[in-house]
Amino acid sequence: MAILDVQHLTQFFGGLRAVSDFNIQMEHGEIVGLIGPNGAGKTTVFNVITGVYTPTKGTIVFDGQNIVGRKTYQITQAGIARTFQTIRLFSKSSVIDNIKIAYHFRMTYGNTDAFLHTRKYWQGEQFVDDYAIDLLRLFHLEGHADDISGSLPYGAQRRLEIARALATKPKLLILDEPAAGMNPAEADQLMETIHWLRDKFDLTILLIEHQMRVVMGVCERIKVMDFGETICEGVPEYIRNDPRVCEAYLGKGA
Amino acid sequence: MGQFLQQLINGIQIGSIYALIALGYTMVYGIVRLINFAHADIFMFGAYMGFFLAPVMTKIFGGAFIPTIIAAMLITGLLGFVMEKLAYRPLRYKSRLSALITALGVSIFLENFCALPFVFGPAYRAFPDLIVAGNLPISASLGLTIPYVLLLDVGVSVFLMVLLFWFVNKTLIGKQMRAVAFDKPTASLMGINIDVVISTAFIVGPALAGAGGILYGTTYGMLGSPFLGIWPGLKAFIAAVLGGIGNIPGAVLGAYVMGISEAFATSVNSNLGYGIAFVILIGILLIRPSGLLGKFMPEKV
Amino acid sequence: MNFLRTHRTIATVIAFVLVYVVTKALYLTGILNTYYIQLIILVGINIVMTVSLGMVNGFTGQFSIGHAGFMAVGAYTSAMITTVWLHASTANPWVGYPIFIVAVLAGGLLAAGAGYLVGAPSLRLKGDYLAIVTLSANELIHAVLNATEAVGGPRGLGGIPKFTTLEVVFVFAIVSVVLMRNYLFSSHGRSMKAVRDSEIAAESTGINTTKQKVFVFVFSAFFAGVSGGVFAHLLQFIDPSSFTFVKSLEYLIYLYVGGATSISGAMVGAAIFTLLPELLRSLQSWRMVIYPLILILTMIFRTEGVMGLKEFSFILIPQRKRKEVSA
Repeated sequence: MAILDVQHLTQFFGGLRAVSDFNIQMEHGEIVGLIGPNGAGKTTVFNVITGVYTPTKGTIVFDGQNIVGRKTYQITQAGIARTFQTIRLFSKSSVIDNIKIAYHFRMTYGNTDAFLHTRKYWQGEQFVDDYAIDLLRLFHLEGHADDISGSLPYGAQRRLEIARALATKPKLLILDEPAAGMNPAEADQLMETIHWLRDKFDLTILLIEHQMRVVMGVCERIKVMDFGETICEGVPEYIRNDPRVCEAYLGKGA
Repeated sequence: MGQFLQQLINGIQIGSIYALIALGYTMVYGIVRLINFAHADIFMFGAYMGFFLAPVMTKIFGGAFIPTIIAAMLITGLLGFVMEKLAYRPLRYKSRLSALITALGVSIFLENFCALPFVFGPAYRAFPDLIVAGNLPISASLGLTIPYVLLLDVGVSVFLMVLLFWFVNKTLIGKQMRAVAFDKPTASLMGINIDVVISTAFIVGPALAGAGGILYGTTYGMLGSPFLGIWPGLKAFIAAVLGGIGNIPGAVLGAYVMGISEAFATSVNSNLGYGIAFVILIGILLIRPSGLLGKFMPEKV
Repeated sequence: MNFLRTHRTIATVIAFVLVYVVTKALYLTGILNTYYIQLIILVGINIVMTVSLGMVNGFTGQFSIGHAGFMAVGAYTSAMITTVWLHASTANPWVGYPIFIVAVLAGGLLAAGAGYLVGAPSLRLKGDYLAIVTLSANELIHAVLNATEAVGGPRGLGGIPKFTTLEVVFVFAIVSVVLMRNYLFSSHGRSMKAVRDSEIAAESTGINTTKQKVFVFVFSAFFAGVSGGVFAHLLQFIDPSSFTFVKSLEYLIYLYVGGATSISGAMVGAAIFTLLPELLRSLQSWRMVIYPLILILTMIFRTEGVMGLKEFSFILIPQRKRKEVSA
């Protein structure tokens, strides 16, 4: 059974059709890329899947449950985590707190324990501190644990954002332009990381990316969107040679 | 029936004053996304200008109303301009919250500064008569009369609103204002001088509020204290939210809805008149947060 | 559990006991007169008001501007209970104080209820709705109190027994600040800051942001309500004009000048601005002209307030050493 099954997804903003009849089925463990020119509706698809917008039409079944109409936080709790096109860290909080925040909904102590700092609080805090530092270590960020996250260099912020998404223990990870702003060496590193993530955390990954080298190198399957429509999909070699894709990116006659 | 029409007329009268205030809130919000809390105090300032200028104007021009309202509008427009320059402009690229806090600060400052004994003073003042008192009888059988001052309120407001619509829709600077409200970065790339547009909004809005202040003084015949702007300002702001904040026709519509509901609520119970604004506000939040004429804007993620 | 933690807690407790003993001694020897003691009590009340406002405005990033409204609810509720309904008195403290405590807590709960009514519809939405709703609610509460004869209308409510002493306010302020500090330094407190830094990212990490915002708003209103009760039983007379929007603005000034993103900042702001007018008594009528100017200048030149993100060390929770961290 597909872990994510999106059928006939359509999204209007007023009179503007941002996405029309979008379909995708993802099997457990797959890495799928979503590409297309700016304004093609890729990020809108992400926002609809993660509950930021409610779709005008269509169904989204994740892990056997229909998630249309659920709130963003409920969808995250169900197992979909994401990163953002422009980094959205909790920039005034420390690096480690960014991770701990993402674990909040799994914490076992309640408001009363928080007010009174009961034994349950101390146990919970100790546990989450260990959990967070272990996760930071995997991303080579443990040395910055107590720094303010907004002060990290750009590359480290990107890594932290992925680490934060993983802290929610997702089944499906959605990455919105993870290589944006990276140089070729960093992008190579990222491709390795994405494969490693999938294996290490047993993930399914959906990503948007503009750097073709990254998309072709990391994805097993690619969908191409233009003006809200899916214009073709397939394995990287197929996409590379499809004239419609060139046309969408470069215009007719290219 | 007569009672109903009378309340309707009263509502339109107070709604006209709210509309003049609400327009300033909505224009400034549309352009800089700031609730200019001090706008209520500019309205108050306008009313006091009427009090001080009317005797002078009478001496110079013979008649008082037209020169007084023009002078008050010029002064409040200048006040708005200076306020933006000194208090808000330095914060334009800081967090939105700091501008909002500053707006509150400016508001408290204006109220308390004006309440100092050598400025306007905290005491009650009788507002000079700017027009002839009297009533226009409409229907004796219904007991319906229209005071001249009501005709004046509605007439002046409608005139100024028409002037504003012309300004915003037909003049170059008006078109630039709409462009900036729609998309500031793009407007700026198109060569629109954002500073000029913002300053214009901070002149035009306060000038209208100043006119509202004069009408307020003329209508009620007295000025309670330099804190008199708080309630009308609050109601006008709620009216702007009701109409769809940032939307100019919305502010006018919201103001009349607010004025009329208030007139009817007050006729039932004078305390209900205060509460109705709050009821409307909670109603908007629950039912239609974008307001009557506002559009839903998806957040950019 | 941990030597450092216990040690610092003890040091802090000793420091506060010392402050109390010194204040009391100065009072008993006549160096501080009743007026100054009253001022110190007001500092305590204003600290709780400002810190609780900071929970909403500073740490959760919302903009509530009608905090005095909740204070009024607490003040009137508790005063009605002690004075009008139960006729409590300080003559018999063994009966009086339990009633007082129940009364201020009841005031807090009613204020929390009012907080829920105000917060729930407005915090659902993003944007500036909360500001305008809290402002309206503050003015509405003021108008309702003015119009309600049963609570004295504009004449106010007098003859309230003076339960609020130096000891009461010490315990009240310390307990309140510790509770709020504890909450802030918890997983829930971290989610508050997450909401402030990026609401959309907080939602995306599984936080029910609306619930978190409403909860903070409600407990903030609770502390404002209790402060109101303590305030009423200090002044022994309350009237609607003690709780106008202007009063709310004062707390906003204390908060933002002191530093909204720091408990210590809120405390410093409250303390300085409560004591300052006494040093400048000749400027009394200028107070509300000067304060907003200070606020505006703070926003322009030091937006984050005097304390910024810093905390006094007694506010912080001592952290345990982490296992083998290598940079």
